[in-house]
This record gives sequence, structure tokens and C-alpha cells, in this order.
Amino acid sequence: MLTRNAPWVAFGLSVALLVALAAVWSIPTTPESHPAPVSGDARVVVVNTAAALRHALEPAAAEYYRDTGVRIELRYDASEALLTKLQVTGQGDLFLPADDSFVAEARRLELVDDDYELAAMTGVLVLRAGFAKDPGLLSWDDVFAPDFRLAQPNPATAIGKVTREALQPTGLWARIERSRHVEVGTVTEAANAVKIGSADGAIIWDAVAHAYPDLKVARLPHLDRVRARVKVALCKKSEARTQARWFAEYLAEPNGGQKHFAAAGYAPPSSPAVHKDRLPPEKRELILYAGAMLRPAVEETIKEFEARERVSVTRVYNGCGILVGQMRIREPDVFFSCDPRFMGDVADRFQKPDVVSNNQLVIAVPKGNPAGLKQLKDLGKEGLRVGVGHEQQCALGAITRETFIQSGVYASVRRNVKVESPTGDLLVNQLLTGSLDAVVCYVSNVTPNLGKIEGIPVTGIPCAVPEQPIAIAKGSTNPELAARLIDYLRSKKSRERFEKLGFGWGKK
Amino acid sequence: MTPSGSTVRFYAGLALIGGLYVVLILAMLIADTFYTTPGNLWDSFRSPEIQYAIKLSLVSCFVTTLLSLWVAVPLGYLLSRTRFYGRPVLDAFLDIPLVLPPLVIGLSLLILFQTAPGKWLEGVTQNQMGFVLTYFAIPAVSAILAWPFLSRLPSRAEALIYLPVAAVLVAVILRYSGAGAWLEPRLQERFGTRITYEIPSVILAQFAVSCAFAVRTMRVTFDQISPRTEQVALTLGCTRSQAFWMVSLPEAWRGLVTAGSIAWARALGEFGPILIFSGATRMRTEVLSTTVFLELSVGRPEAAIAVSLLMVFVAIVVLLLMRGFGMRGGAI
Repeated sequence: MLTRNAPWVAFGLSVALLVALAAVWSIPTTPESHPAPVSGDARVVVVNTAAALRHALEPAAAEYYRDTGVRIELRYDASEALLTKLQVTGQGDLFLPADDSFVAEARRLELVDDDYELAAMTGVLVLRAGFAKDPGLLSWDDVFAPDFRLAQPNPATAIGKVTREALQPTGLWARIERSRHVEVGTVTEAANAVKIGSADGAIIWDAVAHAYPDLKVARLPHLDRVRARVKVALCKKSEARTQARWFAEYLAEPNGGQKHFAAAGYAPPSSPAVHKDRLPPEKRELILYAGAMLRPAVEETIKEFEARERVSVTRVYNGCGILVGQMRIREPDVFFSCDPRFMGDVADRFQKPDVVSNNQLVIAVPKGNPAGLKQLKDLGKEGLRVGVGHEQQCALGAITRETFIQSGVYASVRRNVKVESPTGDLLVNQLLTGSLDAVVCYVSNVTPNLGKIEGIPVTGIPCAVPEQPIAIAKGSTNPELAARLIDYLRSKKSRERFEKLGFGWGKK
Repeated sequence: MTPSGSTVRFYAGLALIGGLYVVLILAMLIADTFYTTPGNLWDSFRSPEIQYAIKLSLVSCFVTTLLSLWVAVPLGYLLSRTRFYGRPVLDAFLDIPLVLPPLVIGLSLLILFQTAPGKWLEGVTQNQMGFVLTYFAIPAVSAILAWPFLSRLPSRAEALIYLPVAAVLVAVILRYSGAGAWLEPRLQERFGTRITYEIPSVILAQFAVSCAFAVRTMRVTFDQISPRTEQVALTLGCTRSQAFWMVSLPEAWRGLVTAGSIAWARALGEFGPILIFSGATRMRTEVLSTTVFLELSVGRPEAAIAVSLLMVFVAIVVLLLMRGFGMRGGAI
């Protein structure tokens, strides 16, 4: 029987083995700090980076994840290979090679646009641990001595190219070429050759030398001209542009990524850590359409943005349905919607949106809850005066309607609805004046008036916690500036303001 | 009987020549051992990233080996036993992965998945994996596994017709019993993934190279097995398929184990295509060979050597187990 069915036994065993391997793989052993990112998730930023920058980037990425909840996926490779892959696939949000020559090349190929300078590097000569001569007393003549083995990264590498350009006018490059040097493929190969002892010395970046504490460092004349910078650039095809920009800015911040670069031995950037177009000489303007409920959460942040960027932001707050209607007349640069459905209505006019916050639907009642309301169906009590959002004019009304329908109370509550308003704030005002007994609004409408009213959360209905997406108009004349405004609105400080008002942060 | 002096000299000569290579390997390992420290080895073994790399290396290498054998056995047999138009071209074609620089294989895979069919496939694996597994893979595998029962039907043709019927039946049962609705989202959540820069890309990169070695080994194995025993089996009433499964494959068992070992070892050492096609993302697509690269890139050759020694240890254990298990049996 076994022999007769051998093909099927073999196939069965193979399948069983595959299933077993899949089961082994499914055993969750991944630590919390390394959750597997979901591809295409807006809260994952993919950084194509040189492996040599690992020491600086891993702690920076971990810290950033702790602070913001945005995961940074670091994809390592050699800088040349990163550039090739970017050219072939276009995948990735940020490009961070070992030095800026690759950024320049990527820019020439139109693969990246904005960049941020993160660090500066200078060439040094490293000597193997047992090298007899004191590095302070070393001269170029010692390097060109017949018994000195120099490992020189070839001129196809950045350090090789810059060394050649810097030393050629001095005649030193010609002497290197005549010497018994060994050409190696990368700067780390040169450093490793010295560390293992197969070479006496190598010209490498000072930041790379920092990773080799047992090597001696000599700063020979003219090597200070061997200079390069580390830059991070935004990929043009990035799917998470806003988050990518924010992380790039974090890396350039003195209290952010810069401290990790310093710890890894990188010198601070030679120019201010901002891209040239971030300090515009002329005054610029942005138009922001935002749901009315977002006003208290964003107003202060926008003022700070205006001051720092020297721009003017024209804010139009209203019910999202009204705003969508207004877009037929005048389109904004940025739309910050109270609910994804209104963003969906104009999706063809905007780039991919990012969710900034979420907000809980509540039943707002006067302090002490005199009507004794506990849940949605209580809004149908005889004689109760209820206020809700307008079903067509604002997200609040649309969400409230959907919540009522899903709870099966739409008909009973509808009888008691006395007021339909385009914004939650207007409803709360009417509640405060005593003209209504209860209103359905967001928790963020209630929080500023907690002394006078209270909110009963609407639970168990998924649509009762809408998310607030933000997006840049495809027709915006200032998409870069708009992206920076979004960065501000997603900053830690902004988050505190949102949370203070009762909003949740990010996706629910 | 005491061996004669000439026999001793002959074997001593062979041992001397072969021993030089063994000494070279041993010397490299000893040099590695002295370059690193037990502390480095222990630190490497304790690192969660390296533990993950070990796990991914083992799982991906076994899957690659299995897939390679599935392809290598039929292809090796066809090349060995049949003569057809274009066979020399196909034979040379199968050597391409052996002669191409590894980086080119990685780059070619990367480019392949930027084409329309590649993107379509990636879309399916990312968004429709639960559906494909629930309503195609599970029914198909179930039907094939039911073959021993189907084959009891009076006619073979009838049994073959019932094979797809059984698959459709399983799919319908899954669909209308509610089991499919329960299973699909779970399988999608667990196995829905892109290919490039994800775990499937690691397996595909390893497979692209390892399979060529396995095919070559299986072809040589079948070449060395006389077709006469198969022909005898055919005269005794076996079908071609029965002669293959009952006669040729058991005879090729040692070759099969060797092909599996070579494919596994090749997959473990694979680096270039993985780096290009899968990237080197820690806790995602990092295998042991990638770890060595990452450690070297930040100036830690001693850690790279420690990981290399771990690889050597894992490889020796697995290959000894595979060969020990495989060489003991003579038949399936």
C-alpha cells in the first residue's frame, strides 16, 4: 500500500513539512519593539540606508517609534546598491546613503527631492593597533615607505573619489598611486583590513573610524580637505511622504536624531539642519479647509507654523459637507476632514490622506445628568429635547445618523430632535443655554466645558469613533509647504493639544 | 591481510592531496575561533536579532530545499531519460543561475517584480492570500491527498476526473459551511504579504540558485542509474509512473539526499540575491549571511566571525542529521 501510493505519501509528507514550518514560523517570538510593519501602512516609514549608519539609526528609529508610534523600517545595503534598487523599484520613503554624493546622483536621476543634512565627515588615516610609530609623529613619508601597506578605497567609492580630488593638487594622490597600496571596494572593507591587520593603514572617514576604537587615528596634512556630508533625502515616490519628512526632520533636530549621530562619532552638519527651501525669502500662503470640531485642536499649532515658516495660512472651518461643497468654487491646499467619508467624496482631488486623530461620539448632557440618560435609546424618552449634527452638512450629523441606525434607535430618537446644527460647538452652546436637554457631539466639544456639562460615551458602535484624515490637494501650488504644515499638525506638541481636548491620536 | 607497501603509499598519497584541502578549511575555522571570543559568541547567540536570523535561515532553507527537490526530481529525470528537441539548450539554460553573479540574480528578481505580471502576483499575495489559500490551495491539496482513495475506483480515468471534482467539493463545503469565512481572514492576516523585501523574497532568492544545484545533482544521479531495472519493471506490468516511483526513485535515494543537502547548504550561504531582492531589514528579512554583512558594515568583524561560526555549527549539525538519516534508509 505504502509503495503503491508512494507519490502521494511523498506529496503528503512534503505538505505536512511545509505546514509544520509555517506553524513554527507563526509562533510569535517577535519582540514588541520590532513588530512586523504592514506594507503600505501610512504609519511605517521605509528608510533605505547604508549599513554603516546602523549605529546612529537604530537607536534613533527606536526612540522615534516610542515617541510617535510611527515605525521606521530600516533597509540596509551598500549605498551604490541602494541607489540601484531605488532606481529599479522606486520603493521607500527616505534615502540615506553613506555620503551625499549618492544623494546628488539620486537627485540627478530625479529619484529624490528635498534633503536634510545630518552630519559632516572628514578623512583620517587609521593605523593598525600594533603599529610602532606614534600617530602624532606620523608623516606622509611614513605612509609611502616601502614596508607600509595602505588599504585605499577605490575612487568609485565616495571616500576614494573625494580623497583623489583633495590630494591631487598637492601631488599626494600621485604618490599614493605609485605606492604599494591595496585597492578595496568600500570604506568599511578598508577599515576591516586594518583592524584584522592585513593592512597597516587606510584613509577612511572619521565617523567610520569611531566604530574602530582599537585603531590609531592620524590626522595628516591635507586630509582635512577630504570632506563629505551625510544627507537624508525624500524619495519622490514615497507613499508616506508626510511621515517621512517628519522623521527626516527629527534626524536633523539637535535633540532628536543628532544626539544619536554624535554618539556614533559623526560631526554635526556644517550648515543649519534645514533644507534651503525651508527658509523662504518671500511670503507664501496656504489655504486650509478643516472640520469645525478641529479648530480648538489645531489653531495654536497653525499660528506657530506661520511664525516659524513665515507664511500665512488661511483657515476655513466649517461642517465638512459644507467645505466639500465649497471646493467646487475654491480648492484648498490642505483638507483636514472630520471623517474619512467626506475625504472619500473628494478623493480624486487629493493625495493619499493620513489619519491624524480620532474622536469619540458622546451624549452631552447638563452637569449631573438631570434626565438620567445612560445610552442612545434613552434619547427617545418622551418629551426630551435633543440636538444633533446636520446629516448632510457635517460629518457629525452623518456619523450620528449611522450610529442611530446601527443601534436601532433612529426612528425613536428622531422624534425628539429639535435642532440640527452644522457643528458640534453650536449644539453645545444651545445645551449650555438650556434650550436642549441633550445633544450628540464629540468628546472634544465637551472637554472645554466640563464644569457645566458632561459626556456619556457612545460605545459598541465602530462608526462612533470617527478618524480625522488630512490630505494635500493634487492641484496645490505649494505641496512642499503643505506637507510641512501636516508635519506640524502631527508633531508631538500638536498631539498633546489634541489629547488635551479628548481626541485620540492616530488611527483608532 | 596486511596491506602491501604500495597500497599504503597509494592511499597516503591520496590522503596527502585531499588532506591539504581539509587542513585549509580547518585552519580557517581555527583562525576564526581565535579571532573571536566566547563572549562574542554568547552575545551573538543571545541577541534577539540573531536568534530571529537563525530561525529565518533554518525555516527558509528547509522550504527552499523542499521546493528545489520538487522541481529537481522531475527535471533531472526528464533531462536524463528523455531526448527531445532543444534539450542541449535547456540543459545549458538551467546552468544560468550557477554562472550568473549572485547580485545579478537578485537584481533580475527585483526587476521581474516591477513588471506587470510581477506586480499582479504581488497584489494577489498581499491582498488575496487568504482567499487563494482557502478556496484554491486547501481544496487542491485535500483532493491530491485523497488520491489513494480515489484510485480505488474501477478506472484510472474516472479517478482522474474525480480529482478536480473533489477539489471543487471541498471548496464548496468551505464556502457554504462558514468554515471558509472563518478561515479566509485569518489566513489573510497571517500569510498576506508582499513578495519583494518580505520573507517570500528570501525563499525565492534562495530557490533561484539552490534549485539549479539540485537539478544538476539529480540529473547526474539518474544518469548513473541504469534504465534497465525500469525497463524490467515495465515488462512486468508496471506503468511508467509506477516504474519511476517504485524502482527509479528508491534507487536515486542517495542522490536525492545529496541534492537536498547541497540545496540546503547553498541556501544557507546565499547572500547576494537576498541582499538585493529582500533587503537587510532586521527582524524581517535578516538571515545569518545578512547578519555577517551588517556586523562587518559597522566595524565588528569579531561579531561577524562569531555569527559565521554559528552558521558553521548549524550547517554541520543539520547536514550530519540529513545525511545520517538519508543514507540509512534505502527506500521511501
